[in-house]
Amino acid sequence: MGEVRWCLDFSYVEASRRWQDGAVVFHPLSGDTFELNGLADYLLCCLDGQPPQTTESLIVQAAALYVEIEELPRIVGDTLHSLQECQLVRAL
Amino acid sequence: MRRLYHPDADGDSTWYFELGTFTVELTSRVDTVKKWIPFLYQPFRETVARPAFIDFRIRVERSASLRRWVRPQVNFYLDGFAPFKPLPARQAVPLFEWGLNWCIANQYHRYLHFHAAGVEKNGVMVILPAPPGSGKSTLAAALMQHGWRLFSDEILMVEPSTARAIPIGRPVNLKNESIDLLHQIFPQAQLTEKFYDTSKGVVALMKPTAETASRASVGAMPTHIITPRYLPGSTLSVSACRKPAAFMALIGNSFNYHIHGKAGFDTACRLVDRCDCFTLEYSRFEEVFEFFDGLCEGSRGG
Repeated sequence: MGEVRWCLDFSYVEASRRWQDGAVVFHPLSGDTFELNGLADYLLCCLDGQPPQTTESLIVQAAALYVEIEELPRIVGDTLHSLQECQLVRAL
Repeated sequence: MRRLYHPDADGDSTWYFELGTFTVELTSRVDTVKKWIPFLYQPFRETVARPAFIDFRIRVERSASLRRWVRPQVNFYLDGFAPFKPLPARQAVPLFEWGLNWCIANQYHRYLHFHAAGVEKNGVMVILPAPPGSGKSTLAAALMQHGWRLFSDEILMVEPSTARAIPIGRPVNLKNESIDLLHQIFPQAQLTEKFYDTSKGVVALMKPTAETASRASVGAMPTHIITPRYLPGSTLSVSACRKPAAFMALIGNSFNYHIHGKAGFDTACRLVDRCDCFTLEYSRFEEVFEFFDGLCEGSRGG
C-alpha cells in the first residue's frame, strides 16, 4: 500500500479550542464546528508541528480509545481520513 | 423593560415594550390580548414616552371575512407581514408570545442566541440549554418562583464581545401538566387562563416576578452550563460534563451560531471556558432547589 503524506491546511483550521478532555475546531469555509477526540487532536497538533510527536505519546492517545497496538496504523489512517472529510487536513 | 399603553380612538390598543435592548410595539383590538398583556407585563415600570425606535412593530388582529364570525381566527403581523398561518382567536395571547420569540430568533442577531433558559441569583448565572420537551421552561419558572431572576425561559441571549448574558425576562410559557403542578407548588404564582388546543397542547403564561422585572436590564456573566432533563420518578442526578461535549450541546441549541461564524465560536468557547458544566436529571423541585441554592453557597464560599 502506498504511503500517504498529510498536511494541515492552516487556511481551513482557523480556530480551535483545547480542554483537558478534548478539543473543538471551527471550519470557517463551511461554518461547521467539529469535536475532535484525543487522537484526532493529537494528529492535528503533530501536523501543526507541535510537540510531543513521539510514538509513545501516540500510543497513549490511542490507548485512550481502547486501540490495540497492532490496530494503530489503521486507526491513525481512519482518523486522518475523517479529518480530511472535515477538510481539516489535506492528503498530498 | 418598560411599557407604555396607548388606547386609540378606533378601538385598537397599543403597548410599547422596552425589553432591555430592543423595543416592541404591539397593537391589537382582540379582547384576550387587551385583558392579559397588561396583566403579564404589569411588573415592568411604565415608560413615559413612545420609544424613538421600534425594533418589532407587531399587530395581532382578527382575520377578516367570514372568519370574523365563523370559528374566529387571529393573525400575527410583523411590519404588516404575516409569517404564520392564522390561529383560533382564543390563542391570540400565546400567538403574540410565540411570534415575538420568532422575531427575536430570526431577526435580532446582535446577540448569540441559545435555545436555553437562564436564571441568576447572587451572581451565579446558570444557562440551561435543552431541546423542546425537556422541561426547561417548567424548571426556569420554578426557579423564578423560588427567588432566582429569570433571564429567559426560551431564548438566552449572549453578547459576543463580552460573553455576557442579556436578560429578556418575559412571561414563561407553561404547557400541559406543568401548569397545575406549578400552581399547586407556588400558589402565589400569577398565571393567565389556560389556552386550550394549541399546537403545544394546553398553554398558560406565568407573569414574571418583581425581582425579574425590576432588574430586566441588568446582564450577568454566566457561571454554569447545566443541561436539564426531567425524568419522572428519578432522584436528582448531577454529572460533570466534558467541556467539548458541553460546547457541542451548547452550539447545537443555538439559533444563530451559523450567522455569527468565528465570533460565535469564540463566544461559545469563552462561555464553556468560564463555566462549570453539568448534566442534571430531576423529578422533584425540592432537590433541584437544594442543588441550585448550593451553587450560590459555593459561590459565596469560593
